[in-house]
Order: sequence, then structure tokens, then C-alpha cells
Amino acid sequence: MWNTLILYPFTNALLLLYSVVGNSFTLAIVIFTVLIRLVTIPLTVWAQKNQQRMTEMQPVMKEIQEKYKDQPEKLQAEMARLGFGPTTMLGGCLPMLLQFPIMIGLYQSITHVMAVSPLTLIDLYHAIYPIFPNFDQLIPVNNHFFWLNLALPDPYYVLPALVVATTWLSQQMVTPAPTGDGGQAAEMARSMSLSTTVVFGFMSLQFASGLSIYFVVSNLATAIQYAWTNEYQRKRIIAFLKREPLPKPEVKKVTTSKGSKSGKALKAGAKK
Amino acid sequence: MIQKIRQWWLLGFVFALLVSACGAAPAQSWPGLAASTDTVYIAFGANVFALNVADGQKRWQFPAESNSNVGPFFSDPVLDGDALYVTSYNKSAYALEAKTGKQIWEFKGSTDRLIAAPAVSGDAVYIASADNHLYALSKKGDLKWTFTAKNGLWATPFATDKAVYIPSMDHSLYAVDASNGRVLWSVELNGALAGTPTLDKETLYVGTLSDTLYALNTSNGKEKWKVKSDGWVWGSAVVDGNTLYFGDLKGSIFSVNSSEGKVNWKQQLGSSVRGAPVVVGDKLFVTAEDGLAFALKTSDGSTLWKKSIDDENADRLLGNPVVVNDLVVIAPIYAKNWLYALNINDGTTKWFFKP
Repeated sequence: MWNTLILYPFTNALLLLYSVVGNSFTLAIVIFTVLIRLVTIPLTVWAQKNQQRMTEMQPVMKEIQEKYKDQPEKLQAEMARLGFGPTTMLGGCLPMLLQFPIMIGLYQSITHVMAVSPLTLIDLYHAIYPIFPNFDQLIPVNNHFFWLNLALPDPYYVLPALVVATTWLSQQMVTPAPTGDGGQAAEMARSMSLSTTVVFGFMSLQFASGLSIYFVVSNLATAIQYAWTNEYQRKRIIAFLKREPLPKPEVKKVTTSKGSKSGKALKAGAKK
Repeated sequence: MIQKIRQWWLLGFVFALLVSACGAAPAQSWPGLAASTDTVYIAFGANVFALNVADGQKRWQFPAESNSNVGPFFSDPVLDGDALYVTSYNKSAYALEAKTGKQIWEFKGSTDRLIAAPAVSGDAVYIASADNHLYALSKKGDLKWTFTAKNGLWATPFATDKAVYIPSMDHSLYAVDASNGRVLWSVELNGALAGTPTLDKETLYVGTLSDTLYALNTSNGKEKWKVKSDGWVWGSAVVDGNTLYFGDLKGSIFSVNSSEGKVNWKQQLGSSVRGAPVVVGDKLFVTAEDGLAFALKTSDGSTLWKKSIDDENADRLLGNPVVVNDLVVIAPIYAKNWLYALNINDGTTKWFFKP
């Protein structure tokens, strides 16, 4: 099922792109990554908005949880009133979850098409659709790009450095604006950002540089998308580039159903 | 909050693990096999093993102790006199004492993996490398000359005392002078070449990854005839008298008249035939990727017996089978056991080997 729905279509599409762009596997990876990101924009925007709303509503949710900690039914009702019922919470994770198979499929298809060993070449043979034009003539896939052999790690560490830089950038864009609920949440976000950057940097040192190209393009696409759709993040990155102090997030007010003022979050997030 | 931080770290770790797992292939190729009258050699993963033909008992292993700098091994070992030559994905080629497994020498000249098995002829050992080079060594391991192709060399060359025939992934077959590596002729075929050519008298037979098997004149590389197959021809062909047998990755096995290229018969085995067939008398032994070993009649391709490897994981039988004494020896990938010795007459398992 995985092969039929994800891996084989991705592999065929990637190889087709490779032949269309004149047997440049680097260009094929770049275009394919961008196309996949374009197709999944509705999902990522949905996830982004959901995350932003969760962040904005965090102080008031915390307040409600504290207030009704001994009354679970009331707590649930109040949360649902704000638009955070159990189903909504779970549904909010869906766009993020859906991105995982796409990312893994993309990763696997790049490895598949490079076919650097006899076993992977046989796997590629089985993956290619019979109607694929001139498949035989495309083998072996040309995986050289400047000094790089896309099947091997970058010997001069240029790509790992780019992966680290772009992962850090995209993590800065993805990390939600601080809501002033204390240093722990910010610390947690920083930890996540740092660990993701380190893990991706380490992977690019170990794995084929073709995958590093995918990481770089994917990270840049994430950063551009967040900068485009999120005004606060856009202001942050501009300030960072200009070496100006980072802007503080806009603080909005919200009230619970009994009228207590939180002074931190937004009632507009509630379902009508 | 501490619990939440832990959860985030855990999520990050699981994610990294997931992505890492996607890139880590458990094997890159299939086991390599060779045999003498009393010993079977298997090269797979970290070791090369020598086993007693009669019962599969281990005689020695190389390296004797665990050593991550040696291996992995996948190509067929080559036995020549008292020496066993093996190539490794760690870019090195080794000469071992066939009786003890003790290392005689190591050649470290390659800059990429050695996917192909070595070829031995006269006083030379030929090492084809994925770094596009063919390295001609003396039997003491000294480099005599090199030849460079336009792409990687995945197939074992066919060597005689006068010429070395080198199939390349660059779609060409090269004939070079065995004494100095100078190109005698080259011919561009219509696909990559990953299988070893077969020489019979004045004709070379070579399959391509473009569904074709070619018969070429050894003196100038000119095409004598060609046969269109159903899929890629990766394994070598085998000649028996006036008949040529070969398989393809669509699962077809062909019997062809070797002088004119006319197909005598064709049988469909159901899954890819990567390994070279073996002819013994009037029987043809073939393996198929889905874990089946076949004995076919050479006269019409009808099945004498077929054996399914008795292991649910043994779904990939891609290496070359070896026939020694009254045994057909096969080595699947991912199976519970590494090697199965089947009775040549009925396919029953005589012994198996698990390290």
C-alpha cells in the first residue's frame, strides 16, 4: 500500500522530472521538492493557523484548566466553547501528521532513484511503471553535481553547513511567537529548534548529499512560506537581518464565559 | 512543564529515528558464492565464510575477529589455486589463503566501492570499481595498469591472457589489451551493462539493462546477432554446446541457438531471474527473486522440480547459484539461514548454514 500510493508515484515523478530537465538530478530534486511543497500548502497553512491559534489561546486555556481542574465536565465545556474540543484538538494535528508520509516518501524516492547499489537498482526497476518512456536510457542516473556525488556525503561539508543554516532559519520561522507565559515554553521551543538543527546537520554529514539538497530546499520553502503568511515572523526575520531588536508579539485580550479577564489571549478564537 | 519538555524531546527523537531508519538500507546487494570440490565460500555482509561442502560446517571466516573496517562483502569470491580473491564495499580487494582465510594482501587503490567480483587470468587479477576504473594487479597485489571508463564498473570483466572485456554502466563494452590496458575496441550498446560477458570461441555474449542480449565478435566488437528479452538482462549467460541460456528481470528464461540467435524456447518463472543459470547434463538450475529454485529440462524448459526456501523472509534470491558435487547451493537475502544446499536431483535441503 505504501509503495503503491506514495513511493512508486513519487519515484516515477522524480525520474520523469530528471529526464525532462536534461538529466540533472539536482534540478529534479529541487523542482520536485518545490512542487510537493506547493501541493501541500493547504495542509501546512491549516497547520500553521492551528498552531498560531493554539499559541494565542494558551494563556486563557491555562487559566481555564487551573480554574476547573476539579470539574472535568465544565473544563471540557469551556474548552469546547473556545473551539478546543477533543475532536478539534485531534483534527488540528492532522495536517502535521499528513505531512510526515509525504516527507518520508520524498526521502525514500530520492534514495530509490539514485540507485547506488545493485539492490536499490533492482528495487528501482520494480518501481518504474511499464509506460515510463525511455527508462532504460536513463540508467545509471547521473548523480554528479559540481564537486558532489549526490549518492555520497559532501566531502567539503558545504551542504551540511547549508542544512544547519537553513534548518535553523526554518525553525526560527516555525517556532510560535512567545506568549509571555514564562520562560519554560520559550525554553522548550529553543530546545526543539536546537535539537532539530543538530539532528538534520548530523544526518547531512552521514547521508547522501542528494538528501541534503532536499533538506535545504525544503527548509527554504518552509521559511519562505512562513515569512509570506505570518506577519510577525516576517517582521522578526527582517529585524534579525537588519540587526535590530526583535519585535514583541501583539498581546490581545480575552474573557472566559464568566467574564474574568485574562488580559493575554483572544476571545476571537472561540467558536460562535 | 518538565514533563512537556520531555515529551517534545521524545517526539524529536522519534522523528529523527524515523527519518534515519528510512535511509539505512539493511543490505546493498546479495550474497556472493563460490565453490571448490570440498569447500563452499560465501561472502555476505561483514564476513567471508568457508564451509565444508559435505555438511556445511564452518572451516574459517574472514576477518577472523569482528572488524568494522573490513567489508561489507557481496560479490562472488574467486578461487585460483591456493588463493581466494574477494572484493569489498569498503573499496579494498583482498587475497586470502583459500585453506585458512588468512590475508595475503590488500589492495586499497580504489576510491569507490568494489561491487564486481575480481577476475583472474594468467598472472593477473582484475579489479573493477564503481570509481570507473579497472585495476590490473599482479598476483602479489602490485598495480600493473589501470583503465578508465566513463561510468562505474559494476560487472566482473571477462579476462583472457590476451584481452580483458569490460562491461560498463556507461553503456559500452570495452576490450583492452591484457598486457597494458590499451583499448583494442569498444562498442556502445543500448543500455547499461551490469553482467559479466560470456566468451565462447570467437563470440562474446553480454546482456544489457535495456532488455537485450548481444552476441559480439571478439576481434572487433561487431554485432553478430541480438535477442530481445522481456526485461533487463543482468545475469551472465551460460553456453552449453550450441545453446545459450539466460534469464531476465521479468522472470523469463531463454534457450537460444548460439550461432544464429534463434530462440529455442522461453519459460516464465514468475519473478526476476538475476543470477546466471547453471547447466549440468540435461538440467538447467535457475533461481528466481521470490525465493524459488528451479531445475528445468534443457530440452524444453519444463520444470523437473522447484524448491521454495522454507522461510517466510527469504523472498529475495538474486545471487548466482553454484553447483558442486550433488548439490545446488543458493544464498537468499534476509532469510533465517544464509545458505541452503539442495539435492541436485529433487531439491530437498541437505544442509543449511547460519553464522
